Amino acid sequence: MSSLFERLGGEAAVDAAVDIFYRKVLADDRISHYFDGVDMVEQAKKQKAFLTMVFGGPNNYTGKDLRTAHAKLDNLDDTHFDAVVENLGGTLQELGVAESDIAEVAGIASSVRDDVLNR
Amino acid sequence: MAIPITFNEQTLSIEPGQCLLDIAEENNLNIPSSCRSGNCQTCLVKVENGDIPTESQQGLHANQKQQGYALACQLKPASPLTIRSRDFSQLHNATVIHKDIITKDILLLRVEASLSWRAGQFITIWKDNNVGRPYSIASLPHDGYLEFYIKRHNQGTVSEWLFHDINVGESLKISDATGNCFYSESMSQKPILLIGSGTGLAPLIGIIKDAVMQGHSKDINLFLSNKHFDQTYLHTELEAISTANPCFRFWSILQNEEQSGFITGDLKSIVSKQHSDLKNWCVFLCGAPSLVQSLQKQCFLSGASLSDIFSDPFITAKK
Repeated sequence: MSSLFERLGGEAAVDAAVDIFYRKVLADDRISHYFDGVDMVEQAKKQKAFLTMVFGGPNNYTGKDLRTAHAKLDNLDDTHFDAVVENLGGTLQELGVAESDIAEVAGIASSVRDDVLNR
Repeated sequence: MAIPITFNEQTLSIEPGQCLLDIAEENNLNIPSSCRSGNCQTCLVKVENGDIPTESQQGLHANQKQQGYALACQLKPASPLTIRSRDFSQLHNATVIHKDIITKDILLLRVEASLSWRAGQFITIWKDNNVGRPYSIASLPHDGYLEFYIKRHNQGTVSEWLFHDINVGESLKISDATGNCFYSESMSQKPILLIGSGTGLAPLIGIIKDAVMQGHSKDINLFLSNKHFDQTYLHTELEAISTANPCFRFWSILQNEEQSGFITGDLKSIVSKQHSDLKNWCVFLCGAPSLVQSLQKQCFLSGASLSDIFSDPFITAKK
């Protein structure tokens, strides 16, 4: 049985997903303000690392990184986290990923909720 | 815990998260710098020993990385390092062959030097071993000279020196060409959108001439913005390129004035009206950093892939 990361198409699939995902996030009024003034190329690299992780691919993501990176963001709560997961689901749908795989990705993403929200 | 760094035989102690440039300056050690944002490469140093953090080598050529070069403004050591100032003997000599003040604030400078470059890349012109500033290249290697459009900055150390003290026949020290804002063959099947303000036109016209010379057959659209008519330059050259090459079109925009042959209005809204769908387009953005940043977002949201957006923010030197 191949891994989710391989089933989704490996690194090339992550690259395709980053563009779609980041565009959705920036267009989402619930969360776009958190991305004002950030270096887009740097941010895209972070999103690639994040997507590689939720796709179950080889990654260096740690809970500590996620905590540090999000700790400085004001008023971050579950609604923002849910918005990101929703955009992630939408991205995968657009890429034609099976519903069962989308559910698996959402499950991995949810496992870092407490780190991102610093709880 | 502080990390010991050796810089030119002197020992400095750096706290995690601090950058070499700041600490060197606190200790009255000179590292020339300009943008302090990891773009211009003026603050290049050479790491002779130790683990070089990846982010301090961002944007450097593979051979520079291999030689241990790093950017002092981005170098935040995580372990002990031995570092030296860059070797100024590796700079190129360039001879000034043409100098012309073309608007009250813009100097056209052409120099001859033996180095390789692509139109749209930039080099640093050094006034001396302490002060250098980056300038974009408007000419092709085919032209046989490097061409710069230099904006005069109020109290700008290098620009004022170039305006007043440098004459045809004199020699300048310049660095290797660098930067990824240039035309490449992989773009031949994509339409190209170029957007710039002020002297952002210099690298953009270089990229346009390069694309045209390489036989680019898809659309090439240029949007160029200035506040006033008396700041515009190269207009007749753009008209000539457009006459000779039907795939090239340009929109010259003035923010505050009406003038025949120009459009009056806001650059971003004019671009978004003309280009609401940028899927599959290559985009080049050159000019003021705030403009470049907001256009980058606008073009990305209009469908351009981030890897197809090339930008060159003109970051004014910070002291």
